[in-house]
Amino acid sequence: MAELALRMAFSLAQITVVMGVIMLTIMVLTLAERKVLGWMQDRMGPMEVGPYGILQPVADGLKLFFKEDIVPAGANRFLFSLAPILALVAALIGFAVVPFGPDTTIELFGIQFKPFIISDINIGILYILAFTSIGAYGVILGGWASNSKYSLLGGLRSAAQVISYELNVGLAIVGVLLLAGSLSLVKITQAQAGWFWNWYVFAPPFPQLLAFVVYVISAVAETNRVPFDLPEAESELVAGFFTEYSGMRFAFFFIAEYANMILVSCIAAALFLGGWNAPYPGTALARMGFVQFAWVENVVWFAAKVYFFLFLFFWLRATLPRLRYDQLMRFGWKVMLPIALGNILVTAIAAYLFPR
Amino acid sequence: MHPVLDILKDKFPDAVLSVHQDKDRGDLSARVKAAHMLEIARFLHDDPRLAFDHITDVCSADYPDDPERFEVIYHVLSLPHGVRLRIKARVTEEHPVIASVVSVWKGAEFMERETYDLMGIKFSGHPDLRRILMPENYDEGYPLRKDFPAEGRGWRSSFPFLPKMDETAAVSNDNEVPEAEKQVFRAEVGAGSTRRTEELLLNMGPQHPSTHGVLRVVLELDGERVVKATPDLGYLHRGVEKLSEGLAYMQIIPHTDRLDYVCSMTNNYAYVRAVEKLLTLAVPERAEYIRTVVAEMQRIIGHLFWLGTQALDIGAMTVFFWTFREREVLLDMFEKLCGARLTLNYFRIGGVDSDFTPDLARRMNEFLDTFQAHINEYDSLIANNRIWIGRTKNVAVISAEDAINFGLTGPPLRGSGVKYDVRKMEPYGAYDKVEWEVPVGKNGDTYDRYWIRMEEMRQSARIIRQCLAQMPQGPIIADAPQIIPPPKANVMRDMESLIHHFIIFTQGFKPPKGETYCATEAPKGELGFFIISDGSPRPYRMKIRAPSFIHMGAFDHMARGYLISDIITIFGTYDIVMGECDR
Amino acid sequence: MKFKAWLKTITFYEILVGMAATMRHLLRYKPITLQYPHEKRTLPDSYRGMLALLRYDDGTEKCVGCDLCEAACPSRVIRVVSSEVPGEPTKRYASEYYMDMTRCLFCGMCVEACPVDALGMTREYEWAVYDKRNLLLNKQQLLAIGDRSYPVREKRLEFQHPNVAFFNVAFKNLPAKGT
Repeated sequence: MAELALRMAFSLAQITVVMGVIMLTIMVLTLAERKVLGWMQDRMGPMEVGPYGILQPVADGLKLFFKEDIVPAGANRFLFSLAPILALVAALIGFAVVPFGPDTTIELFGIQFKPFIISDINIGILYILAFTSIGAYGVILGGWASNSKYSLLGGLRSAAQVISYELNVGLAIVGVLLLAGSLSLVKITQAQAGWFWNWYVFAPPFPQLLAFVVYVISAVAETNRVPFDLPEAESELVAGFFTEYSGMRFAFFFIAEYANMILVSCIAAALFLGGWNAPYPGTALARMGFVQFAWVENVVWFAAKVYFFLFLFFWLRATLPRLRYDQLMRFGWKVMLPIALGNILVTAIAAYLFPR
Repeated sequence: MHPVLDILKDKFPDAVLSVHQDKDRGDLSARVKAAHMLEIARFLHDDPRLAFDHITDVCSADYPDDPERFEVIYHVLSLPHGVRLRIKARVTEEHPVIASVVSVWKGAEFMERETYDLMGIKFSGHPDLRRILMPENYDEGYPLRKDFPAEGRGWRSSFPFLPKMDETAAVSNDNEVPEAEKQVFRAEVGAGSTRRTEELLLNMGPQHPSTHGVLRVVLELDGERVVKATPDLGYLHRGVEKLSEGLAYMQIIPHTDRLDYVCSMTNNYAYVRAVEKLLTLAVPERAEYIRTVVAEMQRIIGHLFWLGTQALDIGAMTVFFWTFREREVLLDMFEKLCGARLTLNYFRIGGVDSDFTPDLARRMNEFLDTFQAHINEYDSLIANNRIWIGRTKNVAVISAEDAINFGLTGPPLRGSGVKYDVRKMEPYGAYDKVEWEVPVGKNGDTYDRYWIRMEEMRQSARIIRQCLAQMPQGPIIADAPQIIPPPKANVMRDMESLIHHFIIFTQGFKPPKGETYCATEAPKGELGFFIISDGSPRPYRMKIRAPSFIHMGAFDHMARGYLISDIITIFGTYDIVMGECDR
Repeated sequence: MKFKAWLKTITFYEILVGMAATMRHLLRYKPITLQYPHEKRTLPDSYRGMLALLRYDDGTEKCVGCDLCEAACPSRVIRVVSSEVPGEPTKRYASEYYMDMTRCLFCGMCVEACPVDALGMTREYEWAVYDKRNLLLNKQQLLAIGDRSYPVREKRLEFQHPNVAFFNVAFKNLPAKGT
């Protein structure tokens, strides 16, 4: 009984820390996105709130928090309220299985804990895929419940898009899973230790480069980011599925979108770029003798990889126009899907012929 | 007599009442019987010797004292022969009906609707004769009639159909629009796919992020596919035409700034040229060069603005900010030149307001040195981008015949491969003294129009460079004391200047009796001003042929069968500005 | 050639070119925007901003109440009430002068029309107000704008040029010969 209570308390502490870090990252991201976009577009981005605008996310958060909550006439109140919660919960729950650092264990009061992962379940990646799919329900329900044609169209687009690209994400991952022989993100990451050519994106003899490209493109599509931001295409559908949302409910969708971005970046880092592993064997700190601080380096590497992907999201947004709905579907089914399937085939044969 | 008039007279000896060739201005006009209008229109369009394939404008004038009160005026253009013709037909007040020419020129649909809306002339056989600029249920009369007061009929509060400011809003949870009002936005039966059970009407605008102002389009959808697109114009109607009937010729110039507020220089230019044509006034050579330079600067500004917004509509937001960087440089130059950035009011009848100084010429040349690299920079973002190509190629295709038939001008017409540019066909300014080319597209799709505008910016840069090199010294405004106010320094110095100054500013000048149509190539297309003068210091009737308005006439044709996303692309590709469209 | 095009397609060549362009801007970050309320553009002297009534260097109003500005205005912004200068029956001035700036087009026609240069356009543009009625300016307000925007004033007209004195029939103030 005491053990269970202790485990729960520890998990709760972990959840609090992870959620705090994620929320903080989202705050940073909202500012970083605007700043990076601004710099790429020869302007400054937000500059008014705080020095160089660094308090802008706080101001935005306060504004959204205190804003009037509007429910449009004729909307289905229950689903209208449920949708943002669904989207946000589904986006945040995936972080439970993401390994942020090395797979060490610490012993506290005679019980072993893993500090850098909330729950190391052996079907981690499947769990994430399952829950991100549920997030699509939030979008679709929000679009439908708003009683607005623009929202409805946005929701429908989203439904089609998420189904198509969820498939590609899943299939792109399969190659890695075949090589690693596990669904646990910890095991997959551990298998990529050593030099950086052990990362699955380069791993000889069957690099998962194609799968990586398919994954990145599909991940951008799945998170509804430019150039695949059709569900919320602001020049066509005003704001897509959250046209009618305001205040905190809008913020929930907004946070969910950024949380999804972080999540897919985490998965990309863990599956293809070696997760917490440095590009060289071991860690520099361990070699210098600070073995007890080696985890800092691992976490920093993980964060660096994640931030690289997040930057890529912004960079793409600054560069690319938006696809059209039919083009998006064609691209997903006729280009991405065959590539992903071909990759699975090749990898499966190769993994069979050259077992590691 | 011009051969066109001869042919017309020979073919219809009874129906053509009189023909007239204006010796000073070169305008051809023919007065015809209203009953034979359709017949004549078809002949004009079909006969290969005439081939008036392009409808420029339809408008009307009101002569309350004449027995046949209303005059319906058609401007047609023969692209193969490069001839313009004005056809006039009179109808009476009791029976203001004339046959619609929509079956000959499809572009006449919107023009006739406007004529009906503002003058009350009914066009029999018109497919959709509704009000277009005024509210649909406006029953205060027809604003352009002379018995309609220029101040309008009272204030906002006196119109029952407008919501009152101090009234509480009617609370109603019944959001459904009556069936009867929906009917006009529905396509004819069988237009959609066969499996469709119910139509979805989507109201896009007037409040929508990318309708370029207050344009409203009602889309009938089949899934995301557009079955019918009905533009609803008039949300920005200010009655500039009526307004200018009460203003002296000089005072209208600042009002033309507000038509196409993105490109006010070319609006000024078009208006000033029309008045000069009416007055048959010659402009000093230096002024002509300055006008050409600023008009081309304005074209670059307009196209940069278009490029930014079109890219933003398609989702590439960076291009928008980069184009505004260059636009700012040019606007700063305008500010230096005439003290304003957007509403410039730079042109004067007979010349320009202030001199294009050597300092400005230097700045302009510096700008042109880097401009090419900047255009290439935009191209690096979008020109070869597969998403951009996918979004623009084969989108909103219009064939050359249709484009001409709808009366399109400017880049939308040239994108379909028709080499029609007013600057080449009827050269004005210094356009015939410099070397440049008219870029022409092939497929008539959005990508071609995009390419044409990019190329036009390069050509404009070329024109400006040559003009700056060739620019002669001399006066910048014509010497015509009856028309042009004397230099300010002289006003309190000598009696004659003072008298002219007072007369011109209190009364205005009096042009000869007559009428003229003058077309100018604005960045959006052919911007024409048609002025009827009765010899008084105010225009009797002024009609603005706004390219945005006429391009909207082809909207349904171009939008059918495409997706919602493409609607936005079409808004962009027209380069529509509602200030000009609704006037 | 075909192979090259194919290679470009599968490597996303043109998208990478575009990304390089945006990255170049990020690395050579040179903002072109101004932090408006903190930084302001320098406006040219010919800027057509807020209208103002001017004075001569001895403090008298330039306006002679001739109504030309009212006649020239395309949107009927101006209303002038002209009256005689007390004690000088040949001289007139504007006893009241109103400008409804809500309707002003800032076209500069009135400035052009004014024969004595009594009107000027200033470089003021921050005239947003909460109440529209504050934009109906009277003579005192317009003169105040002129005072702060045109610190250097002209000499009286009759001192500027010998011919001008001819118009100014108020012989009382005529300068002595030779000045």
